Amino acid sequence: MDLDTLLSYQWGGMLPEFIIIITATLLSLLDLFLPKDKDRKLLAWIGLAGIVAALLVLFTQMGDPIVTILNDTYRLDSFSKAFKLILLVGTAFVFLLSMDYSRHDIEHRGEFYYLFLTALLGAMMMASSADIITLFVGLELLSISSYILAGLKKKNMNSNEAAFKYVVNGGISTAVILFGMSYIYGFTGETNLFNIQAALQGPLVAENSFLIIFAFFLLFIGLSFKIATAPFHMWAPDVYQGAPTPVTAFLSIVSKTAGFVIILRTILTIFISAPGLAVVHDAGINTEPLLVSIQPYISVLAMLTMIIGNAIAIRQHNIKRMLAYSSVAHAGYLLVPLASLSALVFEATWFYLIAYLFMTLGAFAVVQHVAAEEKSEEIHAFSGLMKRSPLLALSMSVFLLSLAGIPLTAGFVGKYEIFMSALGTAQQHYILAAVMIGTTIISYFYYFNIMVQMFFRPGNPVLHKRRIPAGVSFVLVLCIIGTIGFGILPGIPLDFIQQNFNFNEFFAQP
Amino acid sequence: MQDLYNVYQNSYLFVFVFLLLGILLPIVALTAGKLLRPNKPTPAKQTTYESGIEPFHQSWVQFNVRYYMFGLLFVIFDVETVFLYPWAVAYDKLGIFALIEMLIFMIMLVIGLIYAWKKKVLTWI
Amino acid sequence: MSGELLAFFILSLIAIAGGVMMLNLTKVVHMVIALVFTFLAIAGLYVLLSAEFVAVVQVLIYSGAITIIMLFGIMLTRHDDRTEAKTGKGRQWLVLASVIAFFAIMFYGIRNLSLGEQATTLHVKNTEQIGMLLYSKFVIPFELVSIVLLVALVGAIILAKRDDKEKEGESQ
Repeated sequence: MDLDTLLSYQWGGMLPEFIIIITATLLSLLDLFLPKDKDRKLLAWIGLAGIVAALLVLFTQMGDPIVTILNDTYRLDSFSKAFKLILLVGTAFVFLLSMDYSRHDIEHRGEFYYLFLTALLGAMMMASSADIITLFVGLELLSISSYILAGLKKKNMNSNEAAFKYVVNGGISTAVILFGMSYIYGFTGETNLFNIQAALQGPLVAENSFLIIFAFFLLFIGLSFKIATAPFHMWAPDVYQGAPTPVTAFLSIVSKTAGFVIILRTILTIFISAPGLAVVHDAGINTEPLLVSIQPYISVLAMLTMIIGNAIAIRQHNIKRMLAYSSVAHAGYLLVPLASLSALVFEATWFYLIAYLFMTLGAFAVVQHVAAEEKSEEIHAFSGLMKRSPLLALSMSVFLLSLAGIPLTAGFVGKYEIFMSALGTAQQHYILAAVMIGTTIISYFYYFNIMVQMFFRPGNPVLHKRRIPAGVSFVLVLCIIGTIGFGILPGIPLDFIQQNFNFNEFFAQP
Repeated sequence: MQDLYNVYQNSYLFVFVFLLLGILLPIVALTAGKLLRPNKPTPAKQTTYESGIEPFHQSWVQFNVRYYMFGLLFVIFDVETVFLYPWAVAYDKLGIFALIEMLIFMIMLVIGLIYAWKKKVLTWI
Repeated sequence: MSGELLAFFILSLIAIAGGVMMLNLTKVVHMVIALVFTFLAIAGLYVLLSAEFVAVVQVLIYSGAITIIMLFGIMLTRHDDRTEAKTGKGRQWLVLASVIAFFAIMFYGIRNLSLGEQATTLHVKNTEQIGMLLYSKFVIPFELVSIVLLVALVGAIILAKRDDKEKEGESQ
C-alpha cells in the first residue's frame, strides 16, 4: 500500500470525527496555556461549537452512499449516521448542562469539558466501524473517559466510590468482551465483521457450534455490563449517584446509546447466519440459526431487567439512584426489539433512544437545578416545587409522564413502537409484551411519587434561591418541545427515519 | 518449512538455558553459603543492622504519591515505545505515510507530556 | 512427547501456580512476585505460539511496567499489608461452584475442538508482519489508541495528583 491508495479513500466521511478530535485537542491546549484565573466557560462554548459543526456536517452526509475506509475499519452507513445523531445531540445537551454545573465541586473545569469530547469520539467510532479492533478501541476510549469523568469531584467520597466501582466493573466487562472476541477471531481469523459473518458459515464453525454460542454469551454479557441490564446492573446506581449530574446524564444517554449501537452492530452482523443449536424435528436433526437459539436468553434478560429495574426503583430515596434504576428499566425495554428479532429493530430502538434522550436529559436538568438550590439530591428536595417554581415543576412532570409512558408524550410512542415490534413478528412474544406492560404500571408508582411530592407536599424553605441558568433553561425548552412534539406528532421523526436512513445498508457490503 | 520452524523454536533452548542459569546462580550461591557458614545465632545478632542504632519502627514507610505518578507516566510511554518498535522494523516497506501516521501519534503523546509538565508532575520538590 | 508439549506443560503449570499463589499468599509483595511468574510464563507461551513480539511486549509491559505500578501502589498504602477481610463460607462455595461450572463448560467446549488449517509462517519476521498490518490496514484504530493513551495520562494525573492546597498544608 502506498500513499496514493491511502489518499484514494473518502476521508471526508470522517469529517465529524475529525472535528471532534481537533476540538478536543484545541481545548486541552487552550486549557493548559490560559491563565489559571480565567473563566473556563469559553472552553465549553468552543466545545459546543465543535459539536454543532460536527452535527451540521453529519446532516450534509445524510443520503450519501456508504463510505468505507481501509477495509471497513471505518464505515459510515445509515445506521451509524442515525445513531451518531443521537450521540451528538445528547452530548451537546450535556455540555449545556455542564456549563452551569456547580463550579465549587469540580476544580478541573477544562478537563471536564474535553473528556466529554473524547468520550463522544469513542462513542462515535463505535457507531461507525465494522471491525472489532476499531470497535474495541472506541469502546475503551468511551469507557476510560467515563471512568475519569465519574471521579472528577475529587473531594466527594461518593464520587470517588463511583469512579472506583466503575473502573473495576468496567475492567471486568472489558475482559469478558475481549475473551469472547478472541474466540470469534480464533475461529474465523478475521477482524472485519462481514468477513467474520462469512467465515462463520464454514464447516469449521459447524463442528464447534457449542463454542460459538459460548463466544456469543461472553460477548453479550460483557456488552450488557455497558448498557447496565440485569443482572449486570449493580454498578449503575452507585456510579450514577456519585458522578457529577452532567456526567450521570452523559452516562445514562450517550454511554447507553453507544452500548446499544455496539450490541446491534456486533451481534446482528456477526451472528446473523451463524449456526446455533441442533433441533430434533420429525424430519430429522436440523440446526437452527444462532440468533433464534439465543432468543429465549435475551428475552429472559430483558424481562429480568424490566422487573428488577422498576421494582427496586420504588424503594429509592435519592433521585439520581432512582433515575439510575429507571434507566436500567429502560435498557430492558430497549432490549425487547432485539429479543423479538423484529424487522423494525433499528427503527424502534432509534425512536425510543431519541425519546429517552429528551425525557431523561430534561429530568436531569431539573434535578441538577433543584439539587443546586436545595443542596440535596433526595426525593423530598422536590416537595413543594410547584409553589417555589411552577415552571420547573410542570416541566419535570412532563418528563416524568413521558418516562412513565403516558399517551401524548414521546415516551408513549416509543413504548408503543417497541410493543408492536414484539407482537409484530411471525412468532409473537406475548410474555415479553405482558411483562413490559406490567412493569410500566409498576413504574407509575415511583414516577408519580415525585409528582405527589412536587404538587401536594408542603414546600421546604427555600435555601438558595437561584435563577434558572440559561443553559439549563435552554435544555429544558428543547426537551419539552421534543417530548411533547414527538408525542403528538410522531410522524415527524418517523418520516425523518424513512426518508434519510435506509437501514438495509447495515448489512450491505460495497 | 517445518524444519525451519523447528530450528527456530529450538534456538529458544539457549534462552531457556540462560534463564535457568540466571535463576540457579543466586539459589546455589545462597544455599552453598548457608551450608558452609557456621550458625550460632544470638538475639543481638538477629536484629537488623542500622549502623549501630537500635532499630525501631517498621522498614515500610508510606511513599510519596509522586513515585506513583512517575510509574503511571512510565507505563504510558512504555506502551508508546511498543508501538514504535514494529513501526521502525517495518518502516522500509511502508513508505512515507507511516511517517505521517507516527507523527500524529507522537503529537498526541507530546500533548500528554506538555500536560504533565504544565501540571508540575515532572518536578520533584 | 515432543519438547514443545513439555515446554507447554511446564509453562502452563507455572502460570496456574502463580495465579493460585497470588490468591492464597497473605503478603501483598509476595502476591506481586507470584503474579510476575504468571506473566513470564504467559510470555513463554506466546513464544511457543510464534508470537515473539507479543511475548516481548508481555515481558516489557506486564512483568516490567505493570508490576512496578503495583509495587508503587502498595508502597503508597499504609503498613497493613495483610489481607484481613474474610468472605462468608456461602459466598466461597458459590464462587467455587461457578468456577467449576465454567471449567466444565469450557472443557466440554474444547474437548472436541477441531481447528482447521494452521498458520505456518507466523515466525517469519514476526515483528515486521505486525508492523506492516498495523500501519497500513489498522491506521484508524492505531491513531485512536494515541487518544486513548492521552486520555489515560490526563486521567491518571487528575485523579492521582494531590491537590495544591493540601500540599501546602502538609509541607509544614
